[in-house]
Amino acid sequence: MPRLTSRRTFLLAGTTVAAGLVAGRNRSQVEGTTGQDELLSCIVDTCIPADESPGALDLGLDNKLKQEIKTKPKTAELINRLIPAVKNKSLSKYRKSFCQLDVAEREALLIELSIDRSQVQNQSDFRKFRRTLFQWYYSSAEGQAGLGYTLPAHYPAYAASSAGTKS
Amino acid sequence: MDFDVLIIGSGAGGGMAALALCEQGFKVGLVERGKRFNPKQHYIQNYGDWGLRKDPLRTARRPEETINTNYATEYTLDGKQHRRSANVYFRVHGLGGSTLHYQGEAHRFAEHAFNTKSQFGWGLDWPITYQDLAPFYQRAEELLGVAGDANNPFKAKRGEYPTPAHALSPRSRILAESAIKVGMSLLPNPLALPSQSVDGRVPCQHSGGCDYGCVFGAKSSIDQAIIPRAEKTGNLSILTESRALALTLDEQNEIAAVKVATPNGMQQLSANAYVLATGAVETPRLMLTTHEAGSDTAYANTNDQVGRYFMETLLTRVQLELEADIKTYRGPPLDSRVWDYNYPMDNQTSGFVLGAAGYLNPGNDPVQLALRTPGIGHAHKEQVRASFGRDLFLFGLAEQEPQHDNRLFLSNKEDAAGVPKVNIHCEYSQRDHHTMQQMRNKLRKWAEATPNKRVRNGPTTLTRSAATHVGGTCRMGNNPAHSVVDAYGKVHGKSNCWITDASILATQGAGDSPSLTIQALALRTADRLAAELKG
Repeated sequence: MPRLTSRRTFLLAGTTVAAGLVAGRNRSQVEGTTGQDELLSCIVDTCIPADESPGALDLGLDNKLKQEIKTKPKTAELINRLIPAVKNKSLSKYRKSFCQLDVAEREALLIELSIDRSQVQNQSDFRKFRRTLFQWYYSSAEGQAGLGYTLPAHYPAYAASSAGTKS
Repeated sequence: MDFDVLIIGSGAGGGMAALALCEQGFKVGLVERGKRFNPKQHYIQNYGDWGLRKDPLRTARRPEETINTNYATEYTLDGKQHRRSANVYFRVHGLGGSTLHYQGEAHRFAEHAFNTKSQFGWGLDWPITYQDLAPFYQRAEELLGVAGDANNPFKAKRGEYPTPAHALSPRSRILAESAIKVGMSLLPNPLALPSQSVDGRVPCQHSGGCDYGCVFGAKSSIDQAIIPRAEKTGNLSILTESRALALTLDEQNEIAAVKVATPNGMQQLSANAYVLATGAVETPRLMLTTHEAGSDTAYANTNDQVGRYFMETLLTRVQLELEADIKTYRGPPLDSRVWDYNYPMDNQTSGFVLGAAGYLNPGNDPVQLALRTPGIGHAHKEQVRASFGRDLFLFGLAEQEPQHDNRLFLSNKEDAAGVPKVNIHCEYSQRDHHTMQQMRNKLRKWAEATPNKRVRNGPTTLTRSAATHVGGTCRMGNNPAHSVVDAYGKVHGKSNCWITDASILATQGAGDSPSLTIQALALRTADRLAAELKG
């Protein structure tokens, strides 16, 4: 999935450098974003990366979150706490921005955040964030297709009665 | 009179009786506690996040807890103390009743299941035989479009099913091979999931979602297969979201009306005849809460039989993780059965059946599985993928030996409407315990003969009751001293009250599911009732 890889590459490389490398949908999505947006996308990508099935970025779940931030104050508050927590932890532990970390480092950092009982607010925020993200992803047709599952409502025969009428 | 016949309860028995009476020209009122569901709107599997949604088939009943959950059954057997916690009462408030969540199993009880007493020395002989019921089984199967294979050597000889049997699911094909290794036969299960379109309805789509309401409306639940036919006669009036609270008796202690709480207020609905069809718990509850004038007894309970001989189905499970990487939920959830032991294997054991089930439930659905799988990232995705759709269990179902002291009786606790709840006392007999053990042994051997990654024992009903298939409580018999209704479902000693639900079952069919028998009995009762009304 080249299109998806380029977006991920962009996020890892940083806005300024990579902006010229991405094209089409990805570029237009990223242009004008703030550092917070970029970091949010990196977190989303870390939680549900693409592999043989699409990742959360491919489903636009980072953008969905950004839209929610605009309309839902509680989501905005949560993200506004979570983003600095991730940013600061990354800088203090690795002296790099979160998006510059490799996959293993990013995963380790987020897991640490989710189990660190000394930072109850961070722990709670990340768990809520994870829940929202997984809920969106695994209730989507794309996420479910990655498990080999098709929601009955998406069956081809759902709209019209078909097949084998008894004579 | 408001109606020729007033039927309380729209499930397997009430719905089928309504159709038969409407088709014979009678004006029928059908009272249903729940709403009428729209499969394409209300059922959770219309939605990607169905595992997190409230299932309306379950939540609809929650405001009214029927059973006093503080009552547990404690008893001693062979010097050992046993305790069974209160019944978990699985029923549905909705037009179609519990057929809304049944798996469509459409079993005829075996011939021997009608006379266990004379054949084996335990249980009870029904006042009717298999042959008496066979034509009504046939009629019910036609109405439901049952899909099945007529060549089941463990069942009475019969004609072809209305629609062909479903091909065995991938899980059943694997399990059929291992069943042979341990001397058993896994055979297609007759299902009210038509394999071809019947009445212009969509045939079964193998979505596996029977339990949460079939989003295709393909499952032959009463609301899909029966009510529309009854409505076409122009003789059916349906009162949904209406609850029968009590029977109103006249001076002769016959039913004069039924007090019904409707969305428009309390009503007294009257008819020439009344059919109670609210199940083996609610029907006796309604009778026990109605007192006859001039006596201390409840309605039709002069002989203290109402509520007695309560029976469950004995259930034991073995969890199995297959070695093969298949999606175990694919296909009808209960597409196969083992009937080798439906005829009792010895004089200590009741008849039982074995089966396999693969489900997607809230809990192992995509969303909840992902949420409960720890971690994030690549490893999390892989783990979710690896474990999704792998759940499978083998189960054994047997009939419980009917016992006089296993009964439901009124509690001093009341529900929100002021109607007394019921306590259920339900001990297992020596035979019940032995049968449970036999089933467990057979299941373990079967599971271990199947290429597997893991086998472990699952839950049983030894310690926790399961009121999915309950029966008895108003049982059928010729002698009013030991039964509540006669061979046609008419309440002994009463002129205008009939019962068409699982409460009239004399025994539980050696592990077969009761729905088709309830429906066949309802058709038979309706014919008799119609004949009486016609004079």
